[in-house]
Amino acid sequence: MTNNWLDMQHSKVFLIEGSNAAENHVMSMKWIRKAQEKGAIIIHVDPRYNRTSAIADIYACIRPGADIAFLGAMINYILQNKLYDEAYVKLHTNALMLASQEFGFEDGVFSGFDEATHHYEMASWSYQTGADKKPKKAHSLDDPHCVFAQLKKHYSRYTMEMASQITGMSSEMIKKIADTMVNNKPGTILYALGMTQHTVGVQNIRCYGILQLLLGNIGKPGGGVNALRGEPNVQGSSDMAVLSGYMPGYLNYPAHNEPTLKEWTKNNGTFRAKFMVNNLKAWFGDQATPENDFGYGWLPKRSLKANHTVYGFFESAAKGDLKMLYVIGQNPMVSNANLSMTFDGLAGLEMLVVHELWETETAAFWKRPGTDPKSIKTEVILLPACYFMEKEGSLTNSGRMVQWRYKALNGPGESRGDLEILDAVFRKVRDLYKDSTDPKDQAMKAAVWNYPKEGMAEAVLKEINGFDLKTGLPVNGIADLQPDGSTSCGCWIYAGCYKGGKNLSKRRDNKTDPGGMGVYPGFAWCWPGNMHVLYNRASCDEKGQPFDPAHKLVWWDAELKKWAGFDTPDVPVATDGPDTPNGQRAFRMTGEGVGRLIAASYKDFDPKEKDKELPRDASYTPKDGPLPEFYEPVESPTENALHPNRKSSPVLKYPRVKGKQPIGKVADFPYVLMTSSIAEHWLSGSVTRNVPWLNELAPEPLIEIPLKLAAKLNLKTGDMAKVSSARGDVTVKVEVTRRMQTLQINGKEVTVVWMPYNWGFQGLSTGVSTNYITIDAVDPVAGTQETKACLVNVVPAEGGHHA
Amino acid sequence: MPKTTLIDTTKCIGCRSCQVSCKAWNDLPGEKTVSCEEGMGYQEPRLLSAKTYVVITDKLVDTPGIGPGFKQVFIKRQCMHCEEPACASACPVTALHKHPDGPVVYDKSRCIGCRYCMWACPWGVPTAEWTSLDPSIRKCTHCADRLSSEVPQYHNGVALTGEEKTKWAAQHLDPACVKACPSGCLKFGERDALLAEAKQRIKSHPDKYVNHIYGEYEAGGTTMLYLSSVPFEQIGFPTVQSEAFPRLSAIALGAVPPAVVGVGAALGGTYAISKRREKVAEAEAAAHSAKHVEHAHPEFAPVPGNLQSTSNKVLMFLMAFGVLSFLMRFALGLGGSTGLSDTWAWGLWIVFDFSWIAIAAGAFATACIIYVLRRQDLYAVGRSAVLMGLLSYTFVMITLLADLGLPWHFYSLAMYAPKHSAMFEVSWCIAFYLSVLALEFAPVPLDWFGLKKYREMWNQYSDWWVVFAVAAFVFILSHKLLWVALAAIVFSIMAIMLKPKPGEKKEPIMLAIGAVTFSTMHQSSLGSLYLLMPDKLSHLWWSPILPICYFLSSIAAGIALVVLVEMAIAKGYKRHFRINELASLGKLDFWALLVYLVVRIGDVAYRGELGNITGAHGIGFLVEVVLLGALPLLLLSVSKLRENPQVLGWASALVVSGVIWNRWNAVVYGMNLKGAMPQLGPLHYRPSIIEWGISVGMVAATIFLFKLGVAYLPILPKETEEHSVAAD
Repeated sequence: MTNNWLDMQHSKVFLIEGSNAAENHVMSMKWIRKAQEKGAIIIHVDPRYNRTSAIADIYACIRPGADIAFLGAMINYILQNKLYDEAYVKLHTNALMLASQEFGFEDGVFSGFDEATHHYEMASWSYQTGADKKPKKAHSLDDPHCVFAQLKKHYSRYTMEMASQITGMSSEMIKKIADTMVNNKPGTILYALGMTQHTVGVQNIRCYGILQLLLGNIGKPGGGVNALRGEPNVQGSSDMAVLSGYMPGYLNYPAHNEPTLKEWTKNNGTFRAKFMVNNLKAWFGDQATPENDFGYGWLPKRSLKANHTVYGFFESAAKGDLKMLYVIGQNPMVSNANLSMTFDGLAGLEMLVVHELWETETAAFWKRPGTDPKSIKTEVILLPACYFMEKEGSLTNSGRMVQWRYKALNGPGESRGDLEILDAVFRKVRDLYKDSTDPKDQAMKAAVWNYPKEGMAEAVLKEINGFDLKTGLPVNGIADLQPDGSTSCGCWIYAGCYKGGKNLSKRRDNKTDPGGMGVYPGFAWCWPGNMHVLYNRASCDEKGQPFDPAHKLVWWDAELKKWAGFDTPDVPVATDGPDTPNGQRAFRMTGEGVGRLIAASYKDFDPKEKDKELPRDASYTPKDGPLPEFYEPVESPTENALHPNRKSSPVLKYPRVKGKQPIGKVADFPYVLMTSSIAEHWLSGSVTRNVPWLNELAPEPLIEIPLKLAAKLNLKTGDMAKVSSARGDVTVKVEVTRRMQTLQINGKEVTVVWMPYNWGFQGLSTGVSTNYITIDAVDPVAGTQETKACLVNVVPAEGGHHA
Repeated sequence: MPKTTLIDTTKCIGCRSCQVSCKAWNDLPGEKTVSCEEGMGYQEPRLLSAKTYVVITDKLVDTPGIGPGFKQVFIKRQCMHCEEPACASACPVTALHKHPDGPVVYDKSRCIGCRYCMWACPWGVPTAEWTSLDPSIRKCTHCADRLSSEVPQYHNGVALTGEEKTKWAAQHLDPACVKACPSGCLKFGERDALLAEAKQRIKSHPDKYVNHIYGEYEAGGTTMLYLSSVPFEQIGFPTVQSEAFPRLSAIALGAVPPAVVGVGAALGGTYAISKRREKVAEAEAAAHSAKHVEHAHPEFAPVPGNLQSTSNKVLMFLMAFGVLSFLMRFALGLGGSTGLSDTWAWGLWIVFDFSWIAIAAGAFATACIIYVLRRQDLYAVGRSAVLMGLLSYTFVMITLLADLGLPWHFYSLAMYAPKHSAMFEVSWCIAFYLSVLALEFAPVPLDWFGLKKYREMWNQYSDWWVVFAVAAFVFILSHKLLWVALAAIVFSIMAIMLKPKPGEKKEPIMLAIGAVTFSTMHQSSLGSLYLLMPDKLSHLWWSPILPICYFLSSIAAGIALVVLVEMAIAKGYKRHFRINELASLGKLDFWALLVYLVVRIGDVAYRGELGNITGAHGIGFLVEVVLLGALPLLLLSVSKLRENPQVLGWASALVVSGVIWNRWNAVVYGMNLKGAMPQLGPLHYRPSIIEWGISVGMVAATIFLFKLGVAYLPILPKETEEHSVAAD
């Protein structure tokens, strides 16, 4: 989230697309309802009318996977009709920067594409730069070479009619939603997995960024792009490098072409290299010295050619390349797409460790119904873990708020907290490497790992916060971190959570709210630096004064000569005023310092930097394009109306494993299946399906189909239906409902059906796993599977007609 | 100040956190449910039950305009906690009662398990633990038990300050559902304040809300207040009268104490007048030496019969089946042994009880006729009628034992008097009546076995027992000493005045008066039981004058049954057919039936329900009043016809059937039951084999014991030679 939960009360409009907030982020409704009471309008765009639609003022049905067409049409409508916030766009975005002359887009492909390798060379996606290596800027938005013009040109193809053809949404509805967004500001966008589980997931979210920048909604209270993240610490684990490409704090993990820290810095900039050094100091302590690159060399490097995502794991395991898997807090044997592939992966392992509350489907894969346990060679070890109430530690919510959670009771039997188990495993493994001289084992030997048995979680949080190594005291914030190895920090964005030697995540001051804006600075602690709204500098004009004085959050205090506010001002240096370059870097985490309409390829060089080779910072550019372009899902019922020759994303590689990843044809599988979790069961259900109270609410898997399909197939609510895809079939109960609709797409009727995926063969409530039929094509950037759109066929199950 | 929960359905997101938190707080188990039932959507479980106090219902309501053309509305349903709860007023032992803070709460230690609360609730809220052998009534308590919860000293590891503790306590008082609600749909507070807020919300957003706060006036006002964006009838809320339901039966039950005094006095007066007329007639007869009409009391003697007869074997088999069923009932519990459910809380047994009590009215009707109205000519039928009544009522009580969920809590009836519960009235009234019946019958065995000492006691105390019973009954019911004193005085005066003069034979006149008084009360109060159910019982049967109809119909049915029993005895024992006496009873029954039918049909017509005599209920009604009402009335109207044993028999059978049919309709056929909240019904009821077993077994036992009585006790009049010949 750029903003936070409480901040939603300031929104005047909510665009909820790709999220079923009312079901899956129930607590969001507390704040959405507050805003609604003040007159806020809720727009829900979703292929399925669900409980969020029920509370929305405007509900629009959209075809799964067609979001970019819809959002592109809104962007186009706003650009063509000059409905954007011009002052904001000029000041806080890269709109005026001149795009490279080489930049182009033709027939569904951006410039720089290599068809053979599915790879873009990004050089042409950069700016025209001056002698100072900074982007040249146009004087007006009408300049035909500026980013703004490129944006306009790119989206000019997204007419209302085109979008309506692709999405199934009426032009009137798209226009109504766009007008509502334009006329009600600030507005926020809420999304979740409905937007990310696509092969264009990253670009879907990029659309939000562009839309909100054009509307001037980023950095303002009640604005922002807000990812509603999972309750069990999805935000916290992302922050701490759960994703394969990252170090803690979203630093890129060293790749095979970055053997030295300097090489890494060339790609990532000196700004981040400082945090890398602090991270290495936290890991290797005294053994990390300037001489040995702070132990950078000990880190195993990831190969850019290999697939280190979850899907890569199972594919490697199936081939026998991956020998052992350690699974914590995840149940891929239910939650992964194309479960047959996952099963093959698990069966291909030599050893599987699962560390869980219950024997999940993953832990029990070897006795899956229909599987002969004797045929499985994998050794499976199940370690009993504690439930969240049985251990202490911090949890980071979607609003980046780190909150301490106390232990309420002891875990049953021999169960132990995750930290305790990992600690025991690490110490044992380190013992085994004690005498090794193999270079690859040195990281293990050099690691500082001496957490006390009592207060282990707090000791880890302290390490994450970081220390001034000279005094031994915790650092007070990011500004304290030094590039020379005199400080350490386990995750730079968390620096300051232990400010003054106190665990700030334990603070519970829910009374002090100086500006009345719902910031409550004394309640727990937000990263970075207790900042509640990211990019909040963008809520101010050129002079550093709030665009909306009635809802001010931060401002430049000319008398005190510093940035002040009810929230921590998001500026590089608090005393650098609007008259300095730093005072205009509202988006200081980008190289340009402004919001990026086009995610240009750009490295920012600091003239003051001694080593001229090294950039200060590098902007992030998704490898599948600098601008979102609509591509059909891998399995789609129709052609790409924008560029029939380029149906799906050109960067996409699928199938990755021949024979295991078939692509269904619309002739065989005529209906579009979208899947999702439900309010009553948490994801794979490994916890919730063991709670009878929840099983009562959602007892079994099902398929929701529209009336028209039911009539055609002669299916009634309560009948059984066989749902099949190119990957398999499952038989489930049918719910015929008006909440599902049949759409008109490119002149043809397209039927969308929906299934929850939360069931498996273990637990108190068992049922077939929908993911046997879903597709495991993934987003080329994020590695997220396309479980929101695949093709299926539905037929009445034999003997499934209930009298 | 009573507390309220305001439920703004426009804010509900259907997350069902309230359902789960309710189960967590009340420690209720998860139910086994199935998904995908037409029109149910997210409604899981479908209904309230002993395991589920709260359910979110899911409705798709049509909405015109841009968009999908419909709107999904979620509605939290639970006990409404009426300001004047029908369930609590129904409860005979105050197991359900209104807490001063608003909740309607339940105390199992008092409950006898009669399940009248379930029938009384207009929304079908109270449910029973059918699968338990120790079943409770279960429903939402509005978390009354949270009111007394302890305040924690720490929260999240930080000690709470005094102010925080107060705040915590205030927050913690919220019902579990309110506390869990994330969307602001539920708000807990003072009723007046929340009512004002609800009105303000409607006023501020007239486009968003319908102008109706459900619960403001419904059933006289409820603790739960609802706001909605669509008319309430579209989201499953029944239209409920604004008058509090308890008031429907309060008047009828409030009339009982004065009625006791009035009926007693009237009977005493009637007796005095009849007696005086008799004396005058006797004197006149003596003066004019005219032929003296002597109604010498007949002699009674046992009529030995063959106990091994086929009919007795059949009866014994049925009794054995009854005993087995009775045992099965307690081994399996109510849910396991009956077809009863949260919809059909009452069934076959109640039909039997109601019918049986109505037709056993013969005992009090004949007592009244013989002793009060001085129709000594009918004396011969008296003993059999009383024995039949005694046995019938005894077996009604035994059936009730099976029917009650917690019969071992019977003593609650003596400990916790409700304000006005028809069930309470009926229970005590029948208990007292049974004692009177027993005393009425007592001289037969006492004389026969020569227990002179006890017979002497009977002579001395039976009248005073009536005085005591009546006074005690009035006290239990009213707790008003004025009425108790009045009843005691009136009945004492009668007891003294009607005391036999020295040398005069003691007549059970006081017992007869007591019997009639108690019968009048409970026969009518059985009708009062249904006064609380205007929404459930078809208005062809429901009426504000149900008590009067029930009383009147019981007389007609009771007399008719006496006729039938007499005929059966004559046939079974090959005895003289006393057609004159039976025809006289037939004539009396004609008048009883006429009065009843005029009142019954007149009432339906007066309430404008004649136009609603349609459909299945209409046919049922017509069968009742024409085939089983007007037809026997016609047959009994002509003396020639009623003197024909065949016709008299058929007419009596029709009358009895008519009243049984009437009771069956009230309990089962005329009920528009939709079941537990949210009342998705109708659900069907099929009595189980065990239910039939107990009921049929009890009937068999009644007949068998009657035969046994006839065989060993002087129940039937001695046959003279003349009679025997006539019989041949």
